[in-house]
Amino acid sequence: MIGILLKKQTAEVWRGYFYDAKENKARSRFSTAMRFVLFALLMIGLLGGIFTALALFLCQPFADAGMGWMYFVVMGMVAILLGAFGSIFNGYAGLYLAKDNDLLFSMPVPLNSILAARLLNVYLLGLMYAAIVCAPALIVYWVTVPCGVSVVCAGLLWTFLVSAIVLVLSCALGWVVARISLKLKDKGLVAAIAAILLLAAYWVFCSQIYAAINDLAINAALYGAQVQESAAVLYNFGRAAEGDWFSLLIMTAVVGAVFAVVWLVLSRTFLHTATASGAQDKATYREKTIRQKSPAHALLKKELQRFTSSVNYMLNCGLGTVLLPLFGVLLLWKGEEYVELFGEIFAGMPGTASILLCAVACMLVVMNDAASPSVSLEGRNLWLVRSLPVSTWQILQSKLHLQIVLTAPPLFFCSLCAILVLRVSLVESLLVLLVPQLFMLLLAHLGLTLGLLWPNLKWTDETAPVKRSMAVILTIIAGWVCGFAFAVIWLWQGWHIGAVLYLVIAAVLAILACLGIRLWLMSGGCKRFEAL
Amino acid sequence: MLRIEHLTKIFGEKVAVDNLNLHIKPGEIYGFIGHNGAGKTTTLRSVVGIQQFDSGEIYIDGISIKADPIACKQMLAYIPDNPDLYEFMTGIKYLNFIADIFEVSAAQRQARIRDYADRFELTADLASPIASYSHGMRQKLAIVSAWLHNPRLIVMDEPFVGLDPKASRHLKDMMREVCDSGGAIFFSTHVLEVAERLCDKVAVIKQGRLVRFGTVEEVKGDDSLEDAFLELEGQQ
Repeated sequence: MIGILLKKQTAEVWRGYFYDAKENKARSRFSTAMRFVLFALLMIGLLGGIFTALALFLCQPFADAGMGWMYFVVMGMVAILLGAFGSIFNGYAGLYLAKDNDLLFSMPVPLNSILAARLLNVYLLGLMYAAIVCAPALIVYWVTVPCGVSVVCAGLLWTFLVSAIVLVLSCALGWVVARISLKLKDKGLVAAIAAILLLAAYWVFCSQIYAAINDLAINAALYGAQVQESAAVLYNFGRAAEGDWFSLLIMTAVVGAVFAVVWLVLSRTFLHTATASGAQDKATYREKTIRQKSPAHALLKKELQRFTSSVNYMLNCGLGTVLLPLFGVLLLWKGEEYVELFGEIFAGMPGTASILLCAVACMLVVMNDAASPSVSLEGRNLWLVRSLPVSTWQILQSKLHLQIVLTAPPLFFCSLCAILVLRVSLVESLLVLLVPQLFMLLLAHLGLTLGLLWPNLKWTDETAPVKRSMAVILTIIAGWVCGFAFAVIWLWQGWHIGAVLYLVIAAVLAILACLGIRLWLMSGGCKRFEAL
Repeated sequence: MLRIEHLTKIFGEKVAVDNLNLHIKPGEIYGFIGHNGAGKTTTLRSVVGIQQFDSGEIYIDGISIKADPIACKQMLAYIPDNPDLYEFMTGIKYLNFIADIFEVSAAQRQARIRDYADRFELTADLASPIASYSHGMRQKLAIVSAWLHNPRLIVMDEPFVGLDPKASRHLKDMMREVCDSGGAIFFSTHVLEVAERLCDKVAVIKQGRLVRFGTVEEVKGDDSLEDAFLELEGQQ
């Protein structure tokens, strides 16, 4: 039974790779294979590359100090954080809020089988993300420290252990969110509090991580001794990956015991939580004076309501709205130090601070990609928006405007803070304001285009369009590549032409790209939407 | 009010609607009957402009749905067989959204919401999220929203499914009111007794082709509509 349920869920996750919903037929083998190759390139080539670089930086110093276990503790924690961050609401939505709850609960399927299948699904996705960190970590270690088959086998098993920890964390946190959610009238409040706490933790983590890793690499022996003495679990966790089978056994037992507790709690409360999660307290209707709004305003409001009603959507596609002002405040607080530092490091490249701050703002803008899944999120409601007396372009515009409304004001504040810190000429200041805004417009148009090219209207779990869809993944990667290229090209050759001209060129390129995509959206994009 | 000319829609190998012609005049309640998969929903979706069709033309009050879909949609309302509404909205927010899109003035919408929601005993639930509504309540909300902008043509797919007897009665009354004021109703149903009693005209569709249409008397002859329908389906 679990196999059948898991097959159904897995088929849903990978459906777009095998089936063309638009043409209503199976894809060719070549098309399917190419999609998997592209996905593998993105996951292994890009994300794997980043973690390979981290592994190469850390492995040698730890290995030289005879503390390979500490290296695996660090890499393992990164894998767990990558897998677990953002999984609180995925766990919550995936376990309890699936659209096929009623169907499955009405069938002669044991509840534990439904729960187990959903847990397995969460586990497999966690394993995929954990492997992106664990695989390069292990390979770099095996190359740096020659080792035998036993160590390789232990390393592989350690990867499964890491993903099991991710599963336990996701489920436990998902359960906690579900319990809190049931107690409160306004579930949006839970979402907001949890999101703010998560953001705060994420911000602290990001701002400290590089310093912490450097510190760790320098003082490996000191920290290693402390961990070994006071945190036996961490020590055994690292030793397990090094090939210590006893440690692997201990860690398996510990994780297994914790998972057993989580399973016990989840299985006892599953039906109650899953069936109660949709219930809302009845509000009393009182007639109020209403102001008529324009259709465009109504469509935008609808998009905003969809955005603010979904924790998954907000967390996965709206982090930039909070991170951009936070970055602005950070700039006001420490910006002058950063600018001085840039001035010292890049002494021969005047204007580098402006370019790099713009690049960081662009990177943060990528965190807001609400337009990308907005087409897929129409899902079963697609009939509604298409039956309304509005043009297709108006519908698509409302999706673009959602991203602009969410991003432009915080981005403006962030850029304003950057200008206050940079103290550059008026023209350069205006360009520092303008270029990230143009990048934001470009990203919104690109995201919507990708959303139209890779729509998924048949989802039962909201995380499918907002987190796992090809459109969202490609939008984020394209945004990061553009932001990264903007900084790298400047550092490579761009500085020769000066910051103002460089920013002007970037602005012109962004405008041209944006116009090109917009023209396609107005013609081909509209036709695609109408044919969905 | 509605003129369908040579409508054809093909899905892959399957001809869902085959050269269908139909004319609905103002003041008519037109029933559309046929077995499952006969092409009723495809026809209705084509009429309201959410299903692209391969050939033919559809005119709403003389305007082609292909040439000017927005003008056509402004005149009509559609209720699908399974009203998947925006679950993230409350009932009242949804009604206001629809009213804004159709540019219904504040005073008009308030009066209409009060009137129709009261008829369906939905007023008390308007502040609740649609996610908490039962199927019947969603159907009632879809009906209220369809009537909000005073459409000239209302297209409904199985509108009586999920409604309690009282609500069904109200819907029938409202359908007659629309027609009495010069509008028209085009709806599909499997409940042949309803079609027989309520409709001015009916059309029977089989495998995408219109096999009989006209007044209820013309279609059923001396039999009941059910007998006539089953005879047409070749099941008797």
